[in-house]
Amino acid sequence: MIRLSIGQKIFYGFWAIILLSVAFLLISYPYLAKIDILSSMVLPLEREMETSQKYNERVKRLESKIELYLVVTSEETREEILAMVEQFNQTVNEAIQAKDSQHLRGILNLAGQINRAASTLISDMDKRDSAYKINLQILTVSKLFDKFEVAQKIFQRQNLRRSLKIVTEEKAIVNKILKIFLILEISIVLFGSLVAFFLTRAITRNLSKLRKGTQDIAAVNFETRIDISSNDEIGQLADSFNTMAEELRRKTVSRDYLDSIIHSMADMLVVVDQYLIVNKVNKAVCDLLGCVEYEFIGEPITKIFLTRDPFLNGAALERRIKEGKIINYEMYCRTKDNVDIPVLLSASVMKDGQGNTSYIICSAQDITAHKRAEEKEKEVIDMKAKLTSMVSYDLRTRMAAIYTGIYLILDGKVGVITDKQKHILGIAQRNLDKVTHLINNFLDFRKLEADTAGFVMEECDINEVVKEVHQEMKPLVEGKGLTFKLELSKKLPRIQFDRDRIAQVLINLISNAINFTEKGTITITTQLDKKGVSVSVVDTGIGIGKKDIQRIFLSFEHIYHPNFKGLRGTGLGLAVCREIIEKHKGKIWVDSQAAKGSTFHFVLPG
Amino acid sequence: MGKKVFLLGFLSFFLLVPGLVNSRAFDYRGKKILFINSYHKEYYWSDGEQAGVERVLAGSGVELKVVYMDTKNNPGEKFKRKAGLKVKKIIEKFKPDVVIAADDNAFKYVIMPYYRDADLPVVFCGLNWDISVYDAPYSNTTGMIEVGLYEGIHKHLKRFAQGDRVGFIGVDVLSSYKNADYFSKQMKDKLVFKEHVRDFKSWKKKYLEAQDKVDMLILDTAAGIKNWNAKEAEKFVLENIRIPIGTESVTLASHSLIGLTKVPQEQGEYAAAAALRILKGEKPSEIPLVTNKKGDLFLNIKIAGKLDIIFTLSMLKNAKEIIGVEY
Repeated sequence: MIRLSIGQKIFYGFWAIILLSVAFLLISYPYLAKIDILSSMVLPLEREMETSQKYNERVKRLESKIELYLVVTSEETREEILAMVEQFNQTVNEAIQAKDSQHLRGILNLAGQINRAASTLISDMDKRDSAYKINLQILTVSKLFDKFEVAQKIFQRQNLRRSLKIVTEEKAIVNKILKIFLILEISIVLFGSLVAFFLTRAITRNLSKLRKGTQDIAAVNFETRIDISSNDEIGQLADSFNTMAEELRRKTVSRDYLDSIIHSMADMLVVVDQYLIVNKVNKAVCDLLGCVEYEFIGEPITKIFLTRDPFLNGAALERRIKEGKIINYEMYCRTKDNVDIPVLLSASVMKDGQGNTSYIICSAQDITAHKRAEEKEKEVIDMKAKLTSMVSYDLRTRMAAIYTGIYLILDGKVGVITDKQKHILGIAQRNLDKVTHLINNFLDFRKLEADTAGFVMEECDINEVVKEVHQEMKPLVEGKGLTFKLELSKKLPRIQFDRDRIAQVLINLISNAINFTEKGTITITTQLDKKGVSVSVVDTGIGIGKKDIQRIFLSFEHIYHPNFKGLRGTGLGLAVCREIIEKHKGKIWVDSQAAKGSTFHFVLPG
Repeated sequence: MGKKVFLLGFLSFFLLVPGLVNSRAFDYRGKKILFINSYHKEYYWSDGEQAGVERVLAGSGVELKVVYMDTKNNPGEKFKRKAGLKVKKIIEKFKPDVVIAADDNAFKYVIMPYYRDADLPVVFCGLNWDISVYDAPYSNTTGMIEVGLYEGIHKHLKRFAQGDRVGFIGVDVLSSYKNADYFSKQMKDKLVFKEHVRDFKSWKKKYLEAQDKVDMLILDTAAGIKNWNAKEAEKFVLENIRIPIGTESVTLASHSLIGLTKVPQEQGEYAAAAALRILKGEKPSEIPLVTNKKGDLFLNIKIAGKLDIIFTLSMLKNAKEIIGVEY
């Protein structure tokens, strides 16, 4: 079965009616042509009728004149009659010669006879013939008039009959045409009605199905499907509808699934639009803040997330959220009971097909427990620091006493000692120095770690500090036979840093360089970096292996090298350096290759 | 609802239209008319009346029955009364819706004695001059009174006469006197010669007398003149005529310049038409009494030649018969 669209159905239906009409017109054309022929036959009849009428009028005029003459016998009337007879004779003769029409011949002959009889009558009367003869002539004329009248009537009747015959034929043809047109009309009406009926029924039935389908969809019944098998526009619409319903069903399932996930999330999830107006919140938000969802919908995001960052005002925060540049940013939320809960907020932007922001997804994690743990840890560290300081202080005090005692013995203040004793005490004194250095480093590290080391930030020239350290360390470097060089940039800005701490970093780095360089050069360079001011300590020492580079800045880590077995430090020097640089919000790292030397860099922000 | 109204209108149209069309023609089927002929078959006057009746009723569906009284051949009073009674019995048996009584005897011997002011409608025709002699009209009668066409004859003669004196020669019978009386009333003092004759001889005598005394002469009838010889009369007239003569008698048309005879069909046609109106519901009293108007013209050109009279074209054309033409 051919499946047609509605447009095609209407189109073919229309053309079928047109073809039907054309077919009927072709059938009726010969009849119309015959009507034309018959109509052309009527015209000569009409002309004959007019001619006959004209002669009739003339005969009647002549008759009335003769009547008048017979009553009044005036000369004037007589002349008129003769003139009429003469004129009429001429006309009649011309008409007879012209052979106008066979049908008019009888009338024309009679008109001629009347003319002649009228002439004879006038002649008889002129001759004053007997009344009898004149009456006979009048009778003759009268009979001719009668005959003319009858002939005229017969002619008219025959003419009428001929006209009637033509008209009857025409009528029959017209009746045929009318029948044809009646059949045509009925056919068109029936055909049109059938087309309209089936088309309308198909459309309305399918539309009803569509309406029911849309009602089902409106009632959130996405399982509904429309069963329309037609291939027309409505069928296509039904297919689209079914596809839409399937998509809706699928998306609804997905949405429910997503909703379940979102509401099951332990982390807070807030969806805001491009104006940061809350569009959706998950259960975690409601649970955490002790509110219900609708209390947040339509509200600004700042109703949920608050900040205490003095450097990030409301506008800046909003801008960063809109740009999705908030990642694990610490904020807090205020509960219904005015309890502030710390959270880590991250925001990401959801864009539409055109790249415009449609939604911003904000997720936040309650870090209350973490904060508490952190505080507890800090307390522990503080306690450890206090303990360490206390122990170190006691150690240092006692070690100072030991050191003073050894110094007094070695200096001979308490008596003369032997060389052997002097040697042993020398060893003890050196080890005591090392322990003191170790304790000092350890105390510094702990202070830094516990954030109890006070930093004196001031605007200084880094080159000055470098030069001071260079002077201080030069004897040690050169004492080991190494060259100590400075390559300082002259275009460095003055920056904020703690002079002593940075000097300590430099000393630690140079000390390490001295320890692990047998020959060559130690160079200190400064230069302007895009992140600030960069300082590097370059040596030509043993270098660091790749596997060790990652852990050299960790506390109590030592690098093993077979040539430097005796060189075992506290393991805190680089860790202290790292702590100091990071406290300056700077960065420290190393570039090194085994046996080729190392370069320690640190950058201080400008 | 709309569909029902449409169908009702559609059906009503097709049901009502035929009714409207048919209402134009009255259905006379089942109606009966009795035509009472005072005379007998093949009598030209009453045959003419009957022909008029039949012409009008043809195709109407009316059942027509004709009854003859034969009083021309049987002029006796007793026969006439018996014939009237016979007709009455026929009426009772036939039960006509309307009766047409043609000529005086039918009215005098049937209607007047038996159906005066009765329920049975009666249309008469051919009653001479004055119906008051029968105390008519009655409530159930109407019709056409038969009058002589003397006035018309007089008009024609006047055109050819030398003066306005009028003469009248009748026959010594009641109807002829009646004719003379009515003509006298019409002509008043112009009728200066009025004679009634019994035989042919006295007719000739009065004829010759009239030639000198009047300017135009009217001959009433030849019926009732003893020893009447039409041929001889024709010859006599032709030899002695000097004034235009007219008649309303067909018989005397060959003896007159002009003949204007009554048309019996006119009587019958009017009576039949009135009967149909009655059958349709009109009362006889609502239909007016009328007199006859039509006449058949006879022209005698032989006499015209004798009198040196030339007829007009219209006269010759309208004449029913031209007498005296010799070919």
